[in-house]
Amino acid sequence: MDTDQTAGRQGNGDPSAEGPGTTSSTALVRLVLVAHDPGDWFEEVLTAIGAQDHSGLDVLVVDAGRRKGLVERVTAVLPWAEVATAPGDPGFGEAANVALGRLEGAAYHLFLHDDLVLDGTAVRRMVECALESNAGVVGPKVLDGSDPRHLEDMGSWVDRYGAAVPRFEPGELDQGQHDADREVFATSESALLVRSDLFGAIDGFDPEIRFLDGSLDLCWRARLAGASVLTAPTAVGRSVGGRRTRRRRTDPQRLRPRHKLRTTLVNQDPVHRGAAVAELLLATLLGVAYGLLVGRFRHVRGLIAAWPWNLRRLGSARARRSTVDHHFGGDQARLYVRHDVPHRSFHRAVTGGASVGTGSEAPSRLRLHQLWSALLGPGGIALLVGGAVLGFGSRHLLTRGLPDIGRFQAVPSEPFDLARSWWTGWRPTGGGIASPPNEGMAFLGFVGQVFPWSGAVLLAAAVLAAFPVGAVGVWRLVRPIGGGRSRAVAVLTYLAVPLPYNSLAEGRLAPLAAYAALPWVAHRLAVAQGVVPYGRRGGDPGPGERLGGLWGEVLVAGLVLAVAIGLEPTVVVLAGVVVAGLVVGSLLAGSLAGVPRLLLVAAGSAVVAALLHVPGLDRLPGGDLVAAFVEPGTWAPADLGIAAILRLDTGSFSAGRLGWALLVIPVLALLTASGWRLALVVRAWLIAAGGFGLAWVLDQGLWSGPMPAAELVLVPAALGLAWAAAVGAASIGVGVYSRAFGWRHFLPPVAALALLAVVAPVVESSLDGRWGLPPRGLDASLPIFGDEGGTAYDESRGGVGRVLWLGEPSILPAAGVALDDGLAMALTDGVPGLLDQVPFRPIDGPGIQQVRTAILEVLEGRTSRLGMEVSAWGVQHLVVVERSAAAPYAAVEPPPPDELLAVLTRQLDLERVEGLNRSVTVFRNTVAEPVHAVVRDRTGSAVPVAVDRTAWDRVEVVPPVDGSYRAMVGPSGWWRLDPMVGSGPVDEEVGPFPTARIVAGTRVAVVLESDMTSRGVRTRQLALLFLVLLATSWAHVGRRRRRVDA
Amino acid sequence: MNAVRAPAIVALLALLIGAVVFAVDPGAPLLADGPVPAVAERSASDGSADVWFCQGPTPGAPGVDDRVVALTNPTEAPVEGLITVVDEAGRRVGRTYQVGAGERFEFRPDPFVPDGRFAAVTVEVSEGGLLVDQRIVGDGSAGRDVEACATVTSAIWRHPWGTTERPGTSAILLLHNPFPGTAVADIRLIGDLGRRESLDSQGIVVAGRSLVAYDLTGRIADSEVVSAIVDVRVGQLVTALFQHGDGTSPNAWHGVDLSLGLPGDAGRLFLPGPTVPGDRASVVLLNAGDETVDVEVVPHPVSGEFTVEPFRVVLRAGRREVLDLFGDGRLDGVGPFLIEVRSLDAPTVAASLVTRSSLGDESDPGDQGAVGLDVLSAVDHAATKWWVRTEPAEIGGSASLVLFNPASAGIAAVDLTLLPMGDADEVGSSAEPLPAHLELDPGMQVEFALPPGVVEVEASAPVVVVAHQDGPMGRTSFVGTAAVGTVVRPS
Repeated sequence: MDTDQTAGRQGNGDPSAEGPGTTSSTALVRLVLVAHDPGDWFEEVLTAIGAQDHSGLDVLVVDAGRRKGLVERVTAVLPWAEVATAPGDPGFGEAANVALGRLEGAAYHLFLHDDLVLDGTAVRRMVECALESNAGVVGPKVLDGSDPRHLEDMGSWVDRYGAAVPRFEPGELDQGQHDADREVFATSESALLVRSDLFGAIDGFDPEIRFLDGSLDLCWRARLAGASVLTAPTAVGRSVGGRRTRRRRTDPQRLRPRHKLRTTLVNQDPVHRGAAVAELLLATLLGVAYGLLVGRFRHVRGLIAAWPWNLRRLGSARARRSTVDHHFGGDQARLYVRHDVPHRSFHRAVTGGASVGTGSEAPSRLRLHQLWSALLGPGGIALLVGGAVLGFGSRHLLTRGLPDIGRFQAVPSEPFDLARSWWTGWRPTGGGIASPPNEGMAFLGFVGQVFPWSGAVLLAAAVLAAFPVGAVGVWRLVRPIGGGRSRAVAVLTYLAVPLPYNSLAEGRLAPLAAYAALPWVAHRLAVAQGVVPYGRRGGDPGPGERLGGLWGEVLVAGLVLAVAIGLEPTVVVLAGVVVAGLVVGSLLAGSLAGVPRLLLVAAGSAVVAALLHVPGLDRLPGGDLVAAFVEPGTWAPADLGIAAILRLDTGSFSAGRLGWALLVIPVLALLTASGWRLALVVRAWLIAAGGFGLAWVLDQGLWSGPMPAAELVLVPAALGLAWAAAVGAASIGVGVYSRAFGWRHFLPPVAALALLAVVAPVVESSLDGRWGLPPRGLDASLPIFGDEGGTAYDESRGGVGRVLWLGEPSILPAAGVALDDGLAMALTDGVPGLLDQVPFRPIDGPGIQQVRTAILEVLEGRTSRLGMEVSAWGVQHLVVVERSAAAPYAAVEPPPPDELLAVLTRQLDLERVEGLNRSVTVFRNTVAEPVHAVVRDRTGSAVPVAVDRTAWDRVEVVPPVDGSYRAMVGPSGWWRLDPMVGSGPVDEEVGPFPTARIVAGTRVAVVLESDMTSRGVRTRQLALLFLVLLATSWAHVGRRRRRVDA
Repeated sequence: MNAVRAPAIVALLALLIGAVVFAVDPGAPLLADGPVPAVAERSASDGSADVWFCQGPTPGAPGVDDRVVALTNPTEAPVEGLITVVDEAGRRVGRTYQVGAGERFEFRPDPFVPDGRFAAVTVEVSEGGLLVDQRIVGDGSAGRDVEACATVTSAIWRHPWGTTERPGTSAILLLHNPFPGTAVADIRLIGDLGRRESLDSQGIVVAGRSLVAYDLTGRIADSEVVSAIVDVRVGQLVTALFQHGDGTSPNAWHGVDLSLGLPGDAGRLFLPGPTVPGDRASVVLLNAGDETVDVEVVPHPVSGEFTVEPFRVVLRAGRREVLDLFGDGRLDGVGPFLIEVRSLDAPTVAASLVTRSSLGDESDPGDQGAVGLDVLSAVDHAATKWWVRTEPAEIGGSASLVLFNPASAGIAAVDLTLLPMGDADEVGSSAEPLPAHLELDPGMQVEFALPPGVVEVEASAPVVVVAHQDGPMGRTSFVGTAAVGTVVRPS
């Protein structure tokens, strides 16, 4: 190493030229300044050094950079300083180790980075601290150079893997709060004063640690040698030149993993070292997976590169380890246990997260504090109150389950069958159809596997979850608009609309799913438009908004839309209403800002959602698209009327004239808001108008296809009103009381009264604990099925008999297919279950198709033996449903189809079952045949076989007589005979026509044909989902984003 | 960010006003009335199934000599199906059958159920195309009845007229349940002394696929007129009232009659006027409802020269009234006429036209008068397509076809076709040719000779078709068989 003595220490009147180290009465400090091509700030650093009031200071500047001219810069400021050149672009540690050869003559060595500006007393204070406390290492308090009110570095602790853990949160103000506790594990990285003998004893800095963590490693070894490490709070420095971590050569994601492993290998005692290395290896594996998932590729590279880097340096590690062992005198366990929280250390090692929060400032605790702060605001209180009222009002439903009305039917005894059905694409409903349940059902099946309570409670919880999910969605949607008051109004308004309660009373799943999902979709669309307060267009974004890039928005919106579609496919239409409302609303508000981006994101998200629902897409070419996703419904023209539509008054849960109060706050918002709030309320009103318009079109009978429920199409209206109400709450009271008394002063009390009127019916309805639902559903009317389905529904003998349900679609206990105006039919295996509740088309299965044809013939008077027509499909009973629940409970009671009962009564092979509740009329099929049977050669009669269901997709049958096996299970080609040991050469498709001959007593298996099922499609769907999630994570985590905190 | 308010308010108000202005009237009826069932309807051979119900006596019943069920196939393809015969003792026998194209198949039910006095026959026609009727011949050839079998079942049946006069009459109400499920029926009887109900007429259980013969003669004996109201609590039935008179009763009822009754109540009913001048004719009105109704019986003379004052009757709930058409002379000399029965209140009226030949010499106990008892139930429907099958008239007898247009407006252009049948010697042997085309003014009636065979009537507007047969062996009238889908209530 070359050195240049730039000047002597003679005084010339200039303090910077004269130098402070002229007296020997105080401890001589040799300041070693390592310069790596410093920037413009370097002169300030040098000037500060020259201004130190410590009397014995010797300065050595080590030029570790590549650029020329450092000597001149030093000479210009500190002509007396010595400059040494460290060739080969060494790191900080190696460059600073130049002091090892110059330990004599100085009691302390102060190692300094080239971007720290010391206060004039800093060196003296550190020396005083070292002398007072007999400390081995002392560091200064480092403040943020750009804003000296904030702390930047004040020493750190260390976790079990050798990661430095700062003592404070980033951006924390310096208020002396950490000054009292001077002991640290490692001092500041920028400056550390080390006793010279100690520095020599521990062999200086580790030259392999070039940047970052050099101080930590040195302090660790100093502590191992028995020295104490302190921060001198009165010694202050300022970091200039930008944060070091932003400089490429000190990239922590690259350096920290290798340094952690290095310090662990060198400084840990043998007992902990092995465990720590093993844990770091596991953390590396998990971290690599995590980094790949979230798109943090530099983190991945850093983790992976740490191992070969350290393996190549095992020799030097051993050498340094011997030095540590030689000087070992400290209590290693004590070193890091004080602030070590193992799971958090491991989490940091895996995620590469910032080393903060080992103490009371833990991120999770901070998030908890933030959550509590939010919950205790008006919006949070609205959520809590809403939750309390909903919980109170739902108490009997949650504890006793939902009554069996409409779509609320029992979860299968094996809940995972929901997921199996989704996976295979086959359902037993309708005699066996190639139409899987939606993803929501499949998810419920997964949850049911681990749900500790009964299926009834699971179903109730899933259905009632629509309320909190929808409320939280609205809460998030309106969060940027204003304070907690607007959130409270929006949440309460959304929770108080009659739609979900009427959906509950009518047993409808689709509107509840849309009610829960649409606010989330609308939020993504609003963010996609990016207009204030959801973005920067037109002003500053509101609190809580994360602004992402275009592709990130497309992916997130697509994912949200896909999830919503998974719950209820018709949400697509409602999302279209929201998009249209935003676009037209923007136009009417006078600005098209963000509309192209909105349309782009909407289109892109639709593509993403479509990709994630590939199995649904394959149904598009089959025609009858609406019927595939919308269950048939009835809607008599002008049944609702405009007044009811505007009040969202669709059923038995009605506030009557009080329902008009729902419009008060949104109307006031439209009349009084201004600026961006007016633009937003116009958009919200246009969304509401879209919902109202859709309902009006259907109410007028202008749509001839399957009729969705009124509660479903009005969800956008409810959302728009809640959204507008939020704006109203934020704008109505603004500046009112600073004006002269006028009409505006009446607005807040009017709005409050309106909100009270909106909420009051819900509170009143909560008293019964069931939201008006009857304690028993349709099941109470059907004792013939018994608890276990009765003998006709004993699967072991010929399979489960089927039930043909006829009636108005919404009160049928299974999703049906349309027959005639106001009439639909469903076909279930015995008692209906949740698997029977998803819409499908007649063409999805031959059974439902043929039975439907037979029913249509009956309605047209073309047959008098319906029983025979449907007997082959194992129809044991026909049930005409006339009420949604058993009499005398309150129920939906649509006008019964007059002609239906008459024509069924006229059938010569149907026997009416008497003595039943008037909610149903049941006919027994006198000529029913078993589902699984062997057809005898001579008589042609179908003899039931013994059936043993061994799995979802496997049934084993044993015929009692010789004959040809026949299974009335659709669709054709999906089930086949699987040869079993000793059962003979049978391997054929099974279906309506007798195929394979089976000898009496032979046990054969009937299995779901794997080639026909949707397993491959589902695999691709899951793979696509994984890829989209990955891309979304990369797009969001990898991007620089800004979070506007509330 | 600046935003404007007015365009949004204007647009929202415009939408609201538009929705109000263009909304449909919820009170406006949007759906047409549903189809109206006729007692006997026939499907063309287009694959629709028909089920015919024929119930009646066997030769084992008093006063009955023969009963024949005829299956006529006027189509060009053979028809197959199933016949099920059941008697009042519960015996049930089924047979398949086939009727060749343009052929007729006749069978007697009594060999199927040898011990039964009454038998119900169910004829299932899997693909339509068949006409089914039955013929009952009175003991010693005293009286006859021809009726098309029914295709309708109902929970309501009305039989306005029957008689249990002593001596020499019997009335049996036949309740046929062709379905597997049990039916439960309540019967209200209205005799000369008023309403008559007893425990054994309430809750009559008619087992599935069975026939119950309910003897009115024993339960409400010696009543000049007995009306029966059948309300089926559970299930549906087909009912018929079998009537036999040997001419010894005070009113000298002589002959046999099987009346299908009316499957429901109505507000407007139609009947052809009596065709034989000098006969006694009565319209029997029955109010099965719970309220008093004002009823008008309006004769519509064919000749436009006459206007006849309507008969006005006040019918209390559950009462009946027998109206002698020629009793007050207002119809003397008006010629042929059509009868309209209309309720001015609730539509709970049923009606029958009862005709018989003039009584013989009342001073001569040995003169039982001419054989002739005919009960024709009024119809509340009309159709644009009908079929009527008749057999060759007996020697000295005649057959005629009555067509009337019950509508108050609109001319009906009618085409008549005699369908070719296999038994050509029986077809078209009438002396008078069948008119091929005619037009009927509203409220008009026309009658002409009916040749044997199957006559198809096709009209441009709904009409009613009734066939008459009269001869030494008695008289009978029956409404034709309507085509499925062409039946409406007259305007």
